[in-house]
Amino acid sequence: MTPETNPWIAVRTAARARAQTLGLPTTAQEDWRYVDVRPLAADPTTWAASATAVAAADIDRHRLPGVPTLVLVDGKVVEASARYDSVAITPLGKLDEARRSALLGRWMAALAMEDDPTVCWSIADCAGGVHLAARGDAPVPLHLLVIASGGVQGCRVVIEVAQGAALELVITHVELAPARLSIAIEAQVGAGGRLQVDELQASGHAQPAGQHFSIVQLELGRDAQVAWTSAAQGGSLVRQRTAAVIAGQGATLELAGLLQLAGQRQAHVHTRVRHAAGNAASRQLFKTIVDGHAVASFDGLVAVDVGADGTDAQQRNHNLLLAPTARVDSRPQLDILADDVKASHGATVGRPDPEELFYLRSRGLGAEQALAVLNRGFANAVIERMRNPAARALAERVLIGTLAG
Amino acid sequence: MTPMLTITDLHVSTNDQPILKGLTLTVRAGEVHAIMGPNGSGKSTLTKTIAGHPAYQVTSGSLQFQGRDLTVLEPEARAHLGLFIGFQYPVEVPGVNNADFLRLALNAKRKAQGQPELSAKEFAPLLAERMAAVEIDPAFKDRQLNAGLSGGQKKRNEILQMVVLEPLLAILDETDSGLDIDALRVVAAGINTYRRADRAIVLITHYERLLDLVRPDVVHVLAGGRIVTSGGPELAAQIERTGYDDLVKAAGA
Repeated sequence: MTPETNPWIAVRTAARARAQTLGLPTTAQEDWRYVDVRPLAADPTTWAASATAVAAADIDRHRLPGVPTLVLVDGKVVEASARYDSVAITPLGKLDEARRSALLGRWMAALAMEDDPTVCWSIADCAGGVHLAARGDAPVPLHLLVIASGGVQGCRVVIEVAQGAALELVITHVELAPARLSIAIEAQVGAGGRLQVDELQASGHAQPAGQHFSIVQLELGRDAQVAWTSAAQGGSLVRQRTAAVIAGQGATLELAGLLQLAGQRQAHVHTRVRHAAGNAASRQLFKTIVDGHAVASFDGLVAVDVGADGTDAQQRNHNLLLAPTARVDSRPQLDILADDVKASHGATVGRPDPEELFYLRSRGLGAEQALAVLNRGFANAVIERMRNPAARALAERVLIGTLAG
Repeated sequence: MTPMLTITDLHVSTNDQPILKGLTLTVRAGEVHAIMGPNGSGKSTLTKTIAGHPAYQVTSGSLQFQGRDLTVLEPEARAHLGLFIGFQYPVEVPGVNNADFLRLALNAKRKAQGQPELSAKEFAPLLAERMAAVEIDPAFKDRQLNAGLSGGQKKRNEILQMVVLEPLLAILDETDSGLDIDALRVVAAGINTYRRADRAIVLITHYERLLDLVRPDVVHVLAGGRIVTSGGPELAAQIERTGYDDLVKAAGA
């Protein structure tokens, strides 16, 4: 195929054009109101980047015990030796004609209306990606190890969970050198299908210069169950955007996230949950621990369409401020157009409770250890939702391991 | 021999309000003391001051544990020396696993005393044995630290902490309140088992019923921030019959 006729290049070119039209986000835009956008001014193309620099040891270091690995380096599937009856793994470039046209058609249509440049980047900078199709209902957990060698990287993961099928994924993002990563994961979960994702973002190098844009798009069919738990350490700019559409009655969506930020890191959670069908439930629990000069925000919206009666939606955001110099903003919102709806939202911002600290210290824990124990307790409600034991252990080690005492 | 606890003419304020006004008390190894007193007499202020709660300031007098000045020590350092306070209202710490916490606390103390720390594997049988000794359901180890526990369960959890940490001096602040009679018997049995010639116990209580099960050597009445009278176990019986008023008046407090 010549570049002119290569459909991938055509959609990437369109995405790049759209991104240029949109320009860089500014805090004047409602969706970016709480984000310190200054890191975006850096030119990420000047950052060292070389896929060849990724050694086997870099990959091995991030494997999880007992969980087969699917490795993506800079968007390319470099290892998918694991073969299962329950999930078909296909690099995006090798999709069959029908799937490819459907996918590219969808992207092209979405681009025309897209106003978030990070979504455009995820296509424009997309060097590859992978398609996962779950067929069976007895999933073997799969570890999707997403490694970025540095520089500008885009990646798309497309997940199809067929009717009645199930998929359990652990996704870890590793950045070996400062990078601007735009990673989009789109999942369609069919009737009665189940998707469980435990996701961890951690920087693999000392300098938190990286920018990480996570874009998650979920569509839930009738009686589908999706549980997505993420834990992140932040970077110079991390933003996690999750948009879910509950399209079928009886579906259940659980979104949970933990941010633990220190130093100059920032991370922002942006969720949009739309109940388009009734008698479905959504639960959101996002917790943040901020220290130093870190900046975090939660901007969540639950929208209930006209006629989506019997909806049960809950949204919670709890924040723990460890330093007066840290900053956190919270904006939970409900937009309800149906009549018979149970919906609640709440947000708290607090400091460590001095009575709890004193109690722990009276039992012999040092001041620092007592604080660490409190932080761990705070984080636990999210960590314990991670279903995969290896993912849970990793999240504990990377995010709160130093707190274990 | 140096007494376990020596409190001399102690004055303590909180929020600039004087609460303890010249309290004097000596507790020796092997002894069990009971402190009784009307509400607002300063009982909880005394325990929190001994524990090192930052909201309570010693304005004068002295507070010593085995001859060491406690007032200059952080709460954790006091615990490392062998001091334990069973609080009237144990604090709930959500998300913190009971067994993990007990091991951290014991290891913090062992480390401070130059002993090797215990691994989770080494700690498990010790915890199981202590839980059995104070008749606590083994499932408790996987519960959160006090969060979601009833008042009585929290008190029993305090006794569990005591028997795991093995302090030299245990001060139990109204550990009997909120307990039904069966739980009270279990707690009393735990305290009696804990009693030893090299350890001391101070029971702060409103009720004689605990003192029927754990016989104190000395009973003190605390009123107006001072010990106004002291006696044997018969003093507790007298209080149960006639209340504090006459005693406090007779003492001129």
